[in-house]
Amino acid sequence: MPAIVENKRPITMVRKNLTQKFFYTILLIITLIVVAFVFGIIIYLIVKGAGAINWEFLSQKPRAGMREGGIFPAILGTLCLIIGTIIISLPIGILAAIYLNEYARKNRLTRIIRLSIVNMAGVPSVVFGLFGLAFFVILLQFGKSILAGSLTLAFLILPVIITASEEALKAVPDTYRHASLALGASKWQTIIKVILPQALPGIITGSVIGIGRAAGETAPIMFTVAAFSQPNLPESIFSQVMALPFHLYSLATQVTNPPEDKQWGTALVLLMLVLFFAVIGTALRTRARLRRKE
Amino acid sequence: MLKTIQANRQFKKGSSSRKIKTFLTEKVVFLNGILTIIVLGVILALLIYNSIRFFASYPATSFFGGLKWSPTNDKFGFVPLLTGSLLTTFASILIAIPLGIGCAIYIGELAPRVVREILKPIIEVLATIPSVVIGFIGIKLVAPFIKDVFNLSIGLTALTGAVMLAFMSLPTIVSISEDAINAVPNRYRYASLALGATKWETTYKVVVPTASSGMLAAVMLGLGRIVGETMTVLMLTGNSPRIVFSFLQPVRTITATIAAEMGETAQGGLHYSALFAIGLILFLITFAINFIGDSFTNRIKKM
Amino acid sequence: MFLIKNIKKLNRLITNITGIVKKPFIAIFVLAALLFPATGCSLIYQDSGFNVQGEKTGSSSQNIQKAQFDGEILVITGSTTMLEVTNMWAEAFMSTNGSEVTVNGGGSGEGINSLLNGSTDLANSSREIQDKEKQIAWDNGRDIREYTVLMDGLAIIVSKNVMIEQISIEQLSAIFRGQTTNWKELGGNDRPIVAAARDSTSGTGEYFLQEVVRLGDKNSDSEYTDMCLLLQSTAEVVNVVGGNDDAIGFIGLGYLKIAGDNIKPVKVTKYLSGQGVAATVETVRDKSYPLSRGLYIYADLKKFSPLSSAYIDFVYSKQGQDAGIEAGFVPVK
Repeated sequence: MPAIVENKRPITMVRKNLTQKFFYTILLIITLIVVAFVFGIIIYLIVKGAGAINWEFLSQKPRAGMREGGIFPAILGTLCLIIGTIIISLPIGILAAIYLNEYARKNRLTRIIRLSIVNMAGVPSVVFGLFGLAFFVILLQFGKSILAGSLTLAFLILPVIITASEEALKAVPDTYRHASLALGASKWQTIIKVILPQALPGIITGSVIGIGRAAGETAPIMFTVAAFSQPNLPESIFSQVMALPFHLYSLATQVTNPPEDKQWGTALVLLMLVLFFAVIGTALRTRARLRRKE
Repeated sequence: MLKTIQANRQFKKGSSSRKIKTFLTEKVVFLNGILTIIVLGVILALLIYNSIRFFASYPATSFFGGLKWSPTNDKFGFVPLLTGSLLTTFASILIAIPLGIGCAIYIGELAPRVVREILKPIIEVLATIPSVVIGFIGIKLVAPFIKDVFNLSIGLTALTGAVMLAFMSLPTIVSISEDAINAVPNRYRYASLALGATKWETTYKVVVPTASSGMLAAVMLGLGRIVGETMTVLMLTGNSPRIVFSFLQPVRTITATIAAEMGETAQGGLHYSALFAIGLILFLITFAINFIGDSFTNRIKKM
Repeated sequence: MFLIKNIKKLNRLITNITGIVKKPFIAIFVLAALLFPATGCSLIYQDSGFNVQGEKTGSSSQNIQKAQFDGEILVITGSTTMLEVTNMWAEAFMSTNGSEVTVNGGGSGEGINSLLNGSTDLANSSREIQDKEKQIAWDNGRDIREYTVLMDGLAIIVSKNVMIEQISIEQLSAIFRGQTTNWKELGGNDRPIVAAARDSTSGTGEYFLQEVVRLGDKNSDSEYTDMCLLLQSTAEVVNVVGGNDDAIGFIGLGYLKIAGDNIKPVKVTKYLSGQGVAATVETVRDKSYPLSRGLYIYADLKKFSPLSSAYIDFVYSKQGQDAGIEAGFVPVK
């Protein structure tokens, strides 16, 4: 922004410059506060938690009332839930996005669908927990299980998946569609063989971000799957599992005086897991963006 | 190529299995498309059904006017939960607005491009931190700090929750406000500078007012996040269903109540349906806030 | 460098094999995610061979017994007071017969509720089942049986800065009803009292409400004042009372040991004029401590599997009761 200032009396200019410097500094300080918060959390977690993380911590079951041993069942449980969530939410989300982008007409129904997606994105996670409990655990009689938990988490992140997939599908130029149809392919063949592969990077990006969110949620799994202690391999999709976010919550509020480093270690592992997904998602997104510019 | 097209056509036209396949795939795709509506409908139906059952056994006046939430004695007064949520939310948005808007102005207007590219990912990282980790940090660090600073007996207060909630809502507020600021056409800025204004004057007299509706949307969406947050308030606000108007006392929010008491209730019991009733209220509040926020966001896109 | 080259080779191999997923490192991610639980677990889940004290045991002799309930699952839900000792019981029990025990907390209310709707095999409870719960059980066709597995005393703890040594049940009632609000009324400092109670899911909270706040009167309708903190577990009470000032709370006897010296137990007397009794295993056993209670396990006899029966036998066995002693409670035998 060129600063073209002339014809002003020197004193007013000095005052205005001072005012500008003053407010700039305040804004800078505000931004630094926010940055300090983020870095503060990460650094504090690393400093306090890294000491607890070793192979034993990551691979052992908890012993002696969570005070010794490791958090492996929680990590495993979270992975099971992640896999379950992917299996349920990806097909539904991608198909829904396909419907919205390829099949839907611009009528009232479509508007209502889009409205529902936006609203579902805004529903608090504890209300999803209520829904999961009332519908999957009780009504459909799945009980507290991986199935109920995965279903609840899947619907929690469904809006994210649908939105990201729709953006990705939209980004595929229509020329692809026209060319494919001109060659005699049916609409569905076009979608599966031509459009979807092109849109895959964007879809995966959105999914990774959604999964990162699902991995960190506590309220939806509190009532639908999470166990305080379930040290063994889950028998089936109808068994309960432990989960990292719930384990952290348990250590902080249900276990009396657990070792400090185990708590921080669990928090750090959870944060690293979630950040892992976030970093991969962002990296994919940047790669896709750079690719598109070629 | 012509032969392949003709060959394909022979298989396509009139082939009944293909027609069934197309029909089925289209129906399946359509079903997934409307699944969101169905699920949202189921959620709403469960909330409304159980709320009706609640209000059938418990007069609405006792609920909305009730000053005591005591499930063991079948007392379900909503007022303490409402004041708890309002107090926490209000404190939180008071903190979040200056932080969020300030940060957005800095990133959008003042930061050099390199700095901006560093700051934006940092804000995004903040968005991905799980709420239970934020609650954990709050318990270990923020609550003792607030206890010492304000010389309180106990550090688990509305303010403690509000501070952490404010930071959690920042990514939403910052990114949408920044979009709004970027949407202000550059010619506004140049015109202002040409008329002799300083950069700062341009920012606060021209850019911000123009972007104000977008910033309002950002704040509303951030507010929606704050109202609906559960784990952070459950761990940090002290869980005391008292009616107070001070930020420095423990309170109990709607979300924490649902999370804390859900496990205990026998389905069909009064307590069970009471939790769905407050869940419905929570749903409606967040729905309204997000709706207003979204309608403003669409305005930015039209600018 | 060596590792990176191999990963790239592996990526290409996987991409070629699967042929579906184009992005190489997505392929490895997906495959890893699918394989990790299976392979990783079998590598790690070999017999850890630890017993309740955390010492290594010889696993060979137990292989015969191990098959007995191999793979069967037992779900136990409920009291946070019994959480520690249940963990100990579960660990020891699992190592003797290959079963899998899932332990959930949530409070006695959640435990009994889960038992009533069939989502748990056994319920831990630090209070007796209520009449209205018995009614629901009857309506649902369940036959609930109560097992008293340990005796417990409800210890009263205060923050380190509270200067009182003993308290009477009437004084406790007044505090938690909101009538007494400042420590100076009890002879302490001029500081407001922070009353840490338990929420409605808690058996400990229910017991305290009945025996202390209502002074044991079944017809009283006194309640916790809404100035109380409604905490979710015994651990939270210890954390809140220990980490702050001017607070008072109640926890199971067993937790005094674990809580350490962050908190201060006070002696309890029934009447103001009496001599305060400290909560110890002895005073609970000989009933001289005024706030003694039982810890229960509830089962549904209609759904009572051999595994549940074996678990209850284990709890009553010497090993089980010793674990109860080690957790700081009083055995029933």
